[in-house]
Amino acid sequence: MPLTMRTLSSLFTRATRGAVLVFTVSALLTVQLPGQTQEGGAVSKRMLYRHFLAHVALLDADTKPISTLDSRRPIDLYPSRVGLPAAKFSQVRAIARHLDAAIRAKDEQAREVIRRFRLSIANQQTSGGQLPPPPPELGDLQRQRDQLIQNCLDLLAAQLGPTDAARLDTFVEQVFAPKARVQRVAIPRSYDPGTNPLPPLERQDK
Amino acid sequence: MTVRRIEMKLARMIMRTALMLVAAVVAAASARAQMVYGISAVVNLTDTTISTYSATELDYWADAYYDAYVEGYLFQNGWLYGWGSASSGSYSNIAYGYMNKPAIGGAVYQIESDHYVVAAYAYTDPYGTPYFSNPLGYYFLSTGGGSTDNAIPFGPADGPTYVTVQYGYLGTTAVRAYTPTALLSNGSLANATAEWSSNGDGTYNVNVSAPAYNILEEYNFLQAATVTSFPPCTIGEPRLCALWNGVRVLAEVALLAGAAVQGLYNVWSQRVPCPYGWPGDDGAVAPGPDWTWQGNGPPGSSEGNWVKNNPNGRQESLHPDLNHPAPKAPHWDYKDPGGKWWDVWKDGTMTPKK
Repeated sequence: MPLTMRTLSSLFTRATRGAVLVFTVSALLTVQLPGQTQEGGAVSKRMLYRHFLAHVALLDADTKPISTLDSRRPIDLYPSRVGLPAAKFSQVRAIARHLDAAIRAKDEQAREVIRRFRLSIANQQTSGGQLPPPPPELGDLQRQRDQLIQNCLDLLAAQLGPTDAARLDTFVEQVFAPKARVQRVAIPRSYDPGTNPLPPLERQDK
Repeated sequence: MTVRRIEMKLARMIMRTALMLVAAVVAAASARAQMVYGISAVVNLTDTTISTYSATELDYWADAYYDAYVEGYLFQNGWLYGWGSASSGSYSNIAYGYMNKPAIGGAVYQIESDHYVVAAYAYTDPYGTPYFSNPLGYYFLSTGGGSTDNAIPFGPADGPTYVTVQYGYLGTTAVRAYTPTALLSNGSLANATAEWSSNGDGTYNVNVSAPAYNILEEYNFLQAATVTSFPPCTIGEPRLCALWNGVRVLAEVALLAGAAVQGLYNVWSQRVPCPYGWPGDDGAVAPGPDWTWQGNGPPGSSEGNWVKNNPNGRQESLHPDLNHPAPKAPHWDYKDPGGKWWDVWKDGTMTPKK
């Protein structure tokens, strides 16, 4: 078949379509997927508060006094540091305890799913780390857990009112976690037994 | 080759590439990134109490394969002041804890947290011989290599006979805080001054009015040290490794406030152990059998020193200054065999006199 203008035009059209397709798919690959956090970006307020409230709950459960000379507990010092009246901060403490209990209950649910998952793969002989993906129901549980935290944040804001909620925001963002950012961790992903030989384990029973 | 065949080849190539890319997009969308959250926090609750928080938390996807582990190290003016570790164990997805410690005014506190995921690996060949597998290239936390360290048996009913636990180091988060009296309104410390007054209940009021150097010397609050350990560390049930879908850590890193802080730090960092430890709370009692009182006043008074004559002819002296007014803490003046003067503090360390 001779090389005509028509065939050249057809070739050009197809190549253009292909290029557009490749470009589109490449762009799709770079789009941030749901659940991913931007490298170097700000940490979500939900996560900062989750850990701030965890700190409050931990101190709240600690009954030891500051020292032999000071019978107050460290949690008693928190309100003035945050800049809230003790009565207002008691609401923070109550929500911290509530969230701690709620998260523990949710974690128990997830624990059972994870336990069954681990049992299902316990006897699987693995040499290259090829394991099945985690159970999909963990996704639902994780979303429910995230929502628990968000609900507590909303409750906190409602109970404190705009002025005190803003004060607490300032404390959490500027004192408790002043430099939080998202960072990607470099972890070796590939496995080459030839480059990473390891001796067999010694037998312990038998 | 005809143009038609070239055209068909090109079309096939484009279609294959497109299909592969679409498949990659679908795979990426269905793979859920495993998230690890690492956090360090330090809160100066007051001028005299500091509280830290360290945590490594896994989301449920990561928790399906790993435990969490964290180590926290607290530094006071660059000196290690407290430490602890926590493990999530098998029944939690968070390793976390805190430390409450007495603080001193005008000091820099830094909490550093090392974050780890804990994975257990086991592999038995068809003949029942167990092998170790290390697809992620982790190193051993405790030994830097080896096959039997940290090995614990599990099963036999539920799994392989042998398992080796490894710690995957993810990174370190760190953050600093300053006890409030260190900071003047302009952020400078170089000309800071302070007045200390006791409330009689172990707490102190501080009005900034004395040389900053003296602020660092004031550390008598260390006497009532209380250390809250992290929850006990346990190693959880065995679990196997998975393909790593991506781990992210939230990092906190704060910077020093300024050169003035660095200068104070340099002074304080010259603290060294006193060769005689803390000579005692009673200045009238000799620091040791080789020491004799020389002076016009009675032993322990302001007029005289405890003196030790060394075989090489060089003298050392110790002078109690146990009622020194604030802001300087009770201390002993020490002249070493080289003639250099030091302040000796109750924790058995000493800093050079200005």
